[in-house]
Amino acid sequence: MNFQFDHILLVVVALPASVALLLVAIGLAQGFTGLPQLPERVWKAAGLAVGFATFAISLFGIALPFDPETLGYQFVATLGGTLSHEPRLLLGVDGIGLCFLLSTAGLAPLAILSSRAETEESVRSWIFVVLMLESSLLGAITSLNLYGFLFFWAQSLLPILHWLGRWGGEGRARIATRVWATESVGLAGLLFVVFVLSEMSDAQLGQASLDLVRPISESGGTLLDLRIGLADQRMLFAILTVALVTRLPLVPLHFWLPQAHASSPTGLSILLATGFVQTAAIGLLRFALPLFPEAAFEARPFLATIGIAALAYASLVALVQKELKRLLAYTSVGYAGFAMFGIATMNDQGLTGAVVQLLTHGLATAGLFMLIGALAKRRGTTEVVAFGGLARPMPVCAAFFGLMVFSLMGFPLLGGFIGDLFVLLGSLDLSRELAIAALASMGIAASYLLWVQRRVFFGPVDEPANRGLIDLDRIERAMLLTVAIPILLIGVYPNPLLRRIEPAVLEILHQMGRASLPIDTPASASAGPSPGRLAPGEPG
Amino acid sequence: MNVVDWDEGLTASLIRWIALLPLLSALAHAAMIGILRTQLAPRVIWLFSIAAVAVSFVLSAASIFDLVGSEVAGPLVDRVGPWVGGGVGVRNFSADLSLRLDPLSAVCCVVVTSIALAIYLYVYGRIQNGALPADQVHRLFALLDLLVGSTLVLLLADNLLLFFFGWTGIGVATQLVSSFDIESKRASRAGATTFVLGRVGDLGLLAAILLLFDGLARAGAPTLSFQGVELSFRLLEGSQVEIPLFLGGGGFAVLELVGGGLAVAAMTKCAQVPVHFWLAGASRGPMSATALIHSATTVVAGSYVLLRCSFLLGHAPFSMSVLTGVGAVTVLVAGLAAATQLDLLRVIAYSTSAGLGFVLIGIGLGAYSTAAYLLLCHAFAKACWVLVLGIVHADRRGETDLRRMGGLARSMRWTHAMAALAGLAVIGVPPIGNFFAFEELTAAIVSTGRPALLAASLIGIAVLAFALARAHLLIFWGRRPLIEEPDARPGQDPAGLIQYSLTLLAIMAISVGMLSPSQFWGALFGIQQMDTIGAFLSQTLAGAPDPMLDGALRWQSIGVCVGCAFAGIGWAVFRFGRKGYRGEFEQPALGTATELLREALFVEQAIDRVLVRPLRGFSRLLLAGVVEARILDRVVVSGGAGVARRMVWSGLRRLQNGRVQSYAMLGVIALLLSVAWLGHLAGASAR
Repeated sequence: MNFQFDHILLVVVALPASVALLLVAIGLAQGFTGLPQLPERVWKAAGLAVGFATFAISLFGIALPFDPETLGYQFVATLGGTLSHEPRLLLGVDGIGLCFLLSTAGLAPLAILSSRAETEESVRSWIFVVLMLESSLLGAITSLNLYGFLFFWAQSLLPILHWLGRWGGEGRARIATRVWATESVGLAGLLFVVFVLSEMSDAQLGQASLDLVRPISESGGTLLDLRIGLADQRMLFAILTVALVTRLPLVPLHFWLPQAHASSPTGLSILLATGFVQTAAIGLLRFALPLFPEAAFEARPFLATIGIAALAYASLVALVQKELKRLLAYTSVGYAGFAMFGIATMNDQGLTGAVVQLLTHGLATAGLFMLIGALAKRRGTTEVVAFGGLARPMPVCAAFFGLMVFSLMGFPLLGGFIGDLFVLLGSLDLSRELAIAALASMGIAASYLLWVQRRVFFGPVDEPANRGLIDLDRIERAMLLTVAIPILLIGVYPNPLLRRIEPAVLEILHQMGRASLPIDTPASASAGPSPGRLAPGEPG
Repeated sequence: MNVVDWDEGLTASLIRWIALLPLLSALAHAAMIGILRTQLAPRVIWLFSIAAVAVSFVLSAASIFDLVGSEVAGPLVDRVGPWVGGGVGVRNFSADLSLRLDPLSAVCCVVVTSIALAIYLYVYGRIQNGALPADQVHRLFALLDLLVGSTLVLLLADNLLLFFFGWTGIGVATQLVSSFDIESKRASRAGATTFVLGRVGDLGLLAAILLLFDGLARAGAPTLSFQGVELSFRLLEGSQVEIPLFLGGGGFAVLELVGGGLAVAAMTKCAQVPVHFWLAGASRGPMSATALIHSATTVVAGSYVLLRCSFLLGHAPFSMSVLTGVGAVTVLVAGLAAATQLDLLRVIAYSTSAGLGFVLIGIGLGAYSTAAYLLLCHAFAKACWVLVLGIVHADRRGETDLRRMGGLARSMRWTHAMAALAGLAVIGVPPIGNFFAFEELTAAIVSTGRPALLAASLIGIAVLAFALARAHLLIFWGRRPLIEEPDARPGQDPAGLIQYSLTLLAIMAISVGMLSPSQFWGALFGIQQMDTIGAFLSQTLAGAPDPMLDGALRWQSIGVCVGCAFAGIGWAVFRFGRKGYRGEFEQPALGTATELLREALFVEQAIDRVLVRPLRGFSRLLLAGVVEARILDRVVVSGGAGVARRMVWSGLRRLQNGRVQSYAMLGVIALLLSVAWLGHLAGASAR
């Protein structure tokens, strides 16, 4: 394999965190020397500048030079241990990672901008949290090393816990604990898989490598060279999938998300709904499927059914929600199920669709959270009952809300449709019955989204407080445009996006394609079904 | 001259502008409303929109001459470029952005753009009268442009994906029109109903498209273009979709499922029983947009989806018979509903449903060119009729109750005459409007030999005639309104542009009737073959162009047809001609029956009771109440996390004071990092 060596990814991943840490260090130094603290606007300006710089670097340094024709990972960079068995970071992007990288880097500055009144009193902490979260999400999205993935995965949890626990509002202790409890399940599962795989690779390859690819300057095998027996594959795949879908989140492990969204400020919701969720998808696509292909293939009908059931279930629950953020969270839960359905097809169209779906759904949900944040800022509440007829005082807000909702529902010319279309196309290959069931579930999803749009924006203005509402200001409009433009571009002309995702998907399928080759285990077959117990002397 | 020449020629590359111009205009309006926040003069807005539609009209009219003049009956294809592509090998899904002009789409384009032109003129007349507030003008034209543009995309689409785009564009525009009055609760509910039922149709069409594509891909010929599908759909004959055992097992033919999806889509857009009720609510938007929805855009889309895929429907006999049955039931139910309404807008809506029921009967029988022709006649006549009633509606300041009208003929002579003309065209009184189409449809039904269907459609014609005549008489005849308004004033005839536009529509409605597909004139004058519109359309439609009946039988069928129409009119004149509305029936049984018919069998309420409310109740009580709140929240979380909560949170809480807390997080990060690292080293050292 030919890699283009470059350290630009390291810069992108490390920039937000290092600036955040630098600001903290300055703050500490000033604290010790008794000098006055840096003013808050310096923090805010620095945070925004770093956010925009990160996005600019990833756009001009990575997205534009990215070669869509190449299979495999590009911009591969390493940091840390020069020997491959030492823990280190190994970063790289393929088309899938590129999409998620760009969306997370683009949304992080918006998250800083959308800080609500309640974050105004603690701007420093807020900037710190967002920048740390951004770095860890970008790291998880680009990690080509299971160890690095675990590291960033764990790290991305902390800013969120911190935020929920400190400013989560009513019942924050309860909610933060709940998120922690769920996420710790995922963390434990990931840790377990990391232990087992490193032992396996130590046994089979002679070095405890957790790299997915190997830079050409180094010799030795990768995780993909491991030979894992079917029984082990089943166990590991199950554990890894459960660990990852706690974050996707797939029903029935979703209960933390509505509560977390309901009590997060807008900025955090934006990142929760996009990068945070997308790391789970990255984990599934990059590690779970290629490492345990036979087990994954076996699990296809099961995962697909759960995905559809999750969409239908979450849509039904959303139908009776009375609070906008919770309702939107159930949308995310439902469409996470739909994305799982796409992943479960395990063919090129289904996987492509799932990636596009996660991307556009994240963008649209982020836009909706911004709009709900704008409403909350004006009215101080997010209960559906408090609104009605807002299209009269806030036409621009209504138009953007309609655009985002239509994209979620999968209307043509908007990004959401492309994802839905490809997931359905892929699913037809798996099972036509399930595809028809998915269509029916999409119908339910449309009805509740429409209900909320109608309830909030149409009808008479009953509440006197709603009559004098001021429409979105210039900054809010600019923020929504930055989300709306990619949604429209993807919807109108999706080919550039599809051209970049498809090679990545094909590469994943190619890695999974090992499944079709006979596993040459004449020696190990007699030793037992578990390669983990193989003698250390096995050839690597 | 062949297709390739056309591909490269100038004419073909102009086709895209037919659809693009109105869409661009809609986009420009939307940008001006939403982003630039500019308020232009209504005249400028109007000029902008009508220029776009006028150019579209000129282009599509010119293209008809190209098609008629061309020797080869191939379509003109305008390929803009590759558009959506994904998948490898045999499942490769790729759709070009390409438009196709063939006789069917060309004729429909001319119809749509010409009706739109007339309606735009009418709207400007209303603006000149100061009837529209300036801030609504912009939104109205954005919606009208979107409706027209999406319809043109649908008509011209060369592949199923683009077709679907046009289809949903129409759906969105229809929803926005029906909730145009954003502050009215009723309008917003109507918009929601329109949307949800539209969504059902969308999903039906999407299912049909996906099943078709998947079937072709499995057969090794993945394609989305109409030409490709037409060439290779026979590969799907005999292939089946299994039904899961718990649903009874067995299988469905794929083509039957595809036909079923198309039928569902058509039924929702054409407002057929049992999904007819959305149209009544959707008619509460501005009258000009309503006229467009009822004539040339939304309902045309519903029938066009079947006409476009007519080659395929013959292989889905069950769906075809369902279409015929649904059409026949709708003709009767919706006709009777229109005949009993007290609300003007609901009369319009249900009469449209009934009129499209005839179109679906024709399609279900396989008489495609007849159905297409009926659709065209319906479009012109209905647009004219709705707009005339729109004048009355505006003159009465938005009053829709027929009981509060009456006696308007004296003060609104011109309007009365025009309404009579348009109404007679819709009813199909010879020799204008729908007559030739109804005659042709009757001939088609007679030639299939199904007496029940014949009876249903003849009764349907009579009922429709009665309904329209009744509405006309209640509005214009009689001495004075039943319920007298204190500040009643005489009506006023429109002048200027409104008159011109309606005259234009009336001329079109009458002249399109003369383009009989049935070789009516040929048979009269002893010419065997005539170049009729039916023959022209049937170049792209499946089946024979015109079913012919023998001389005597033909005259009999014409006689019965006309007789039914006059019977309906006569009965209406007998009942309402002198005295107008005379109150409800006093017998309870008749009163109940009227109520039942007026609400079109209470289908909407039934769906609400049987489907929507139980579903919401189920979600609220069981899913949200029990599963989410009890099982997941209490049992799983509280049980599992209770311990962790006490342990972890008590630790974390100590960090809650002061700035220390931000920095403490660093420590936690470092801790986790080292745990993971240690674990990794442990794995490494196990070597």
